[in-house]
Amino acid sequence: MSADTQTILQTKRKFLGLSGYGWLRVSWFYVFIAPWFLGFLAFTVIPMAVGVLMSFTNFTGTNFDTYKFIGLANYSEAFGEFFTDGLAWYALSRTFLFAIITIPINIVLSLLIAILLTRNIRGKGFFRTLFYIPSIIPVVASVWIWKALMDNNYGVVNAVLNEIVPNTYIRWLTEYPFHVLVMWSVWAGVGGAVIIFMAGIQGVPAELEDAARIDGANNFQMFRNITAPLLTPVIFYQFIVGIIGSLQILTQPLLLAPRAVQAGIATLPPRENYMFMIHIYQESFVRQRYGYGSSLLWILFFFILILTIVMTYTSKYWVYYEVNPEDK
Amino acid sequence: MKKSSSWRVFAMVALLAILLTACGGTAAPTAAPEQPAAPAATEATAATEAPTVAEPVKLVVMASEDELSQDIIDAYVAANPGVTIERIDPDATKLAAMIVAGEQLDVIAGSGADTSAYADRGWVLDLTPYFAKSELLKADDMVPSVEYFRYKGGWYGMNKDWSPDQSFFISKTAAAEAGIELPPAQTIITWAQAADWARKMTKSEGGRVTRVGMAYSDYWDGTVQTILMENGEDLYSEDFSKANIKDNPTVVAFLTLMAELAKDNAIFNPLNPSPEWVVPDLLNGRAASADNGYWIQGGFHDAENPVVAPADYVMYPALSWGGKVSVNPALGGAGWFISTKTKNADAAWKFFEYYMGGAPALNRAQIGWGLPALKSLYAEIPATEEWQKQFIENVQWEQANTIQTPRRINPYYSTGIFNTTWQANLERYLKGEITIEEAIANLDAEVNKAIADGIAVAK
Amino acid sequence: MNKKPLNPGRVFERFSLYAVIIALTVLFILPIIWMLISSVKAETDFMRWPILWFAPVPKWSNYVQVLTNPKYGFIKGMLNSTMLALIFSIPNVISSAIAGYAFARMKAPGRNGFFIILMAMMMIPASVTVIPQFVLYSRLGLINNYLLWFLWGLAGSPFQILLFRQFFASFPKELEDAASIDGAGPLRTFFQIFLPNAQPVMAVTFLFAFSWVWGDWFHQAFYLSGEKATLAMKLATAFTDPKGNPIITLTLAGLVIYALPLITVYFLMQKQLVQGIVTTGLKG
Repeated sequence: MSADTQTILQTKRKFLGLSGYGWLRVSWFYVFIAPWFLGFLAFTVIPMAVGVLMSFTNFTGTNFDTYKFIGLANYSEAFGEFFTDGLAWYALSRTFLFAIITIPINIVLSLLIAILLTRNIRGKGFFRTLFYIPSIIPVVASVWIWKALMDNNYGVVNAVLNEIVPNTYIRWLTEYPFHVLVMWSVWAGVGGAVIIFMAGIQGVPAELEDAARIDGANNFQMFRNITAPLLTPVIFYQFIVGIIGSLQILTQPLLLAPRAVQAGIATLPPRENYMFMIHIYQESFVRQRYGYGSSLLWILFFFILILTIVMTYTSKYWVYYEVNPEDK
Repeated sequence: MKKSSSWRVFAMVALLAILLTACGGTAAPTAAPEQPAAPAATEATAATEAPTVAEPVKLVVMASEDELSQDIIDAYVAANPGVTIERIDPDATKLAAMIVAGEQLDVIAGSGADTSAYADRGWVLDLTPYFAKSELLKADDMVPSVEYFRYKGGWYGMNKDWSPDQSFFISKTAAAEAGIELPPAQTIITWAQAADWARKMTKSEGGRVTRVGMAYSDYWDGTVQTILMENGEDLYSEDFSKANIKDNPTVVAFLTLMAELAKDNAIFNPLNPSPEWVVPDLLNGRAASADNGYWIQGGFHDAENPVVAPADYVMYPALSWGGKVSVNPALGGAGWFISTKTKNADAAWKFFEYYMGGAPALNRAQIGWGLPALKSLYAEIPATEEWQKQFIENVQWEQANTIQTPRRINPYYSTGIFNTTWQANLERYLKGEITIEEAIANLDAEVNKAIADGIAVAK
Repeated sequence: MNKKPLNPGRVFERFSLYAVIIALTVLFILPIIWMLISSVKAETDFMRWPILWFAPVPKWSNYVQVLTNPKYGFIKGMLNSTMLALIFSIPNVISSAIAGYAFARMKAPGRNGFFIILMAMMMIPASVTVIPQFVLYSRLGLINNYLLWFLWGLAGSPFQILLFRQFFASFPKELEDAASIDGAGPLRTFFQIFLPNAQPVMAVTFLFAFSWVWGDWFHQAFYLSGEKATLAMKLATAFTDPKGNPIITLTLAGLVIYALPLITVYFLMQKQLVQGIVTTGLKG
């Protein structure tokens, strides 16, 4: 730039407050993030606050004029269920079981597939998309497919099993619904993770690979010592996302419930699929106990928070960041 | 690049977004002013005289499409110019939301079992003055189950039809196959007998049940209440504060009987649910008997190429526990209310009256999904086929010889809770997690807890 | 890439690699293939035991039935879904773009704080707000109202904002200087310089937003009904015949039509989409 332009720029900067924190420049930032932030307040913060308040009342959804504050009664009832082996804790245990089973399977399977696909083969993109299709299909469609596939009486899976071992008749949707749910979850969840892992693997800097080869490393050693550590941030991310997502699972068990015709927000799935969110909906909308339901929601939130914090805290023992991820 | 092009794009997009919302959404929410309850002094305008062309009136009706087809709406609108009717799908949560938000809602389709809850919450209008003046809907022309819509002296609605809901249907062929000799029509059959038959008529092949002996209606609390009525007992205490389940031997015996039938796959159950519902189950030979009401006639009436013909079925009075008396009232009553959030009670009443007593009522009687709620329409019931005649004979016999008093509805909790809790416990029993005693004890505890919660909130 | 000598061991290795991959892929795609096959069966062929693998005569009329039967309102449902998706996506993209731009290019006191809030928002489970949101919306008359989706769209979403932020951050710093020489304020700088160059990201975020609404069942089932029902809602309950019996084959045909638009677009926009997913996945 010429010296003249420089001077002009400097003058403009001073005038318009381009550098530092001139008031004109600064206020535009707030304007630009206003829609998001106001939305955040309106749709997240305020409902959360209302939810906390609601959890201290006996609100039933209709008694706007007559509800009472009942302090911690809802919470003590929820915790009390723990000792009486009540429904809330059963639902929580099912949800944890679901998370514990599906998250590792998802991660391991996607990683394996990603490794396979990043070998020197043709049509990577094609295969990658094929694995991704189950994730793209809308939830309603993909759950329906599984529901029809695994149908007790007319499902293909039972038909195939019958060919192999005559007279097998497994009542998937009513006796093994959890297995169906896990299978669906893996099937639909692997695609996205495969894409991310593939990118991560392909993102390993070439110099590192070449250096390792020169040192005589074989494929397995390369993976173990170079690729895997570099993938740990991605794996960590998948864990976090997995925890948050699977603990809140709701729509898929509802859609899998075996009644052929009606699928609503208050459907009751078989016992094995009675997830915590479903229990919350039953309590809030069927039993009309919005206050109690809100307290259950906060208990769930608490668990998710604890797990996320623990994961993040322990991450420093096994996750390798090569660069500061918060580069700005 | 032109300087203003991005602005134009932005403006157009923003405009598009706003337009789309305007087309798709309702108008910006305005708090509807509270409608006072229909003042008793208002004359209910004579419903069937020449239609008055008043200012445009819009009625919002919450009813399913099956119940309120577009044809009915069109016919009414044609005869009453100036009126538009908007139908919305029924949904309990939406109903609560609309009432709370004060949105316009004129007519609500619901069950008589809901009357106490709705009335206590102030959601529905007391229609006594309207009924008093009505030409079409006269109190003495109505069937007993209209009682479900009365509560604490008020009269809040009416059922659109009714049916003795627990009559027993059994297939002649299936019975013959199982070596059962069916008693003559209008004999009272016991539950024990029917259970035994159900076991005999169940067919399975290679582990799969191809036909269950009985498609039990899942009217659990209804059946329990009706068999208790045989001895003048009731499921609930006098003041509805307690449900007697585990301490009542009849209830325990009934639930145990059914649980064991479920275990033997002689009835549809949570582990082996019906793929459709009772009418296709009967017509496709997936079930050999059923305890449902006259309304099955409607489903049979429309049957095309059924595997099992309607003529194969015999209709008996409702099953009896003790064997001497059969109790078979309508268990609820699908009907209509008028909400307190109506903007024009008179117009809403006019439509209500038309549906309950005018051409639609006639049509419903002729199709036969239920018996008409007005006795004067009984002549319209279909009676061309032999089996239809047999059904009608049975209904008439039941009207004369069985107890048809409506059951008592507990205002403190929703009866659906009884059913879902029992089904959940039945599932656990069938999967071997708990014993029958535990299942019944759990049911007792849950139901009484729900009642207690309801009482606490009502204070 | 070194070319390794071709020997039997090597051939076997590559063969088995392809074999495994193809086997896995087929396994994954099998349910979808089966859905396609079954969607052209007659219902009686479908609800049969022992099972009929292929339709003896493909019943293409299933598709016609689904689209034309007035009782199903399929086209209306599709239009509703499309409209709802647009009502959400357009504000969503714009709002996310401006927020992402602000985070990337603007300085202000507390910017870091807001960014932390943004990141935290991704961690907050959505369900903790569902019940209070429902109560609040019903008080505000937003039940059964597409306006709700417009407002949600306007509020942007953390993932989308992040995408835009990463994208805009990569622009050269001199761009603002050039703009200010021309006398442009922040709004013009954004709309005339940054945004027009952000078309790929806009396309991706638009697609993400659109497919979220298109595929979402829960929020729509929860808040909408009747005339406003969307395709997802209609398909959750099986299509029935006049007697009320569910017809699975018709429903499957409907589901194929429902899923097709998304799959087609994803195939077409593969590269950009993968970019988008990777960005949020690796940097998130």
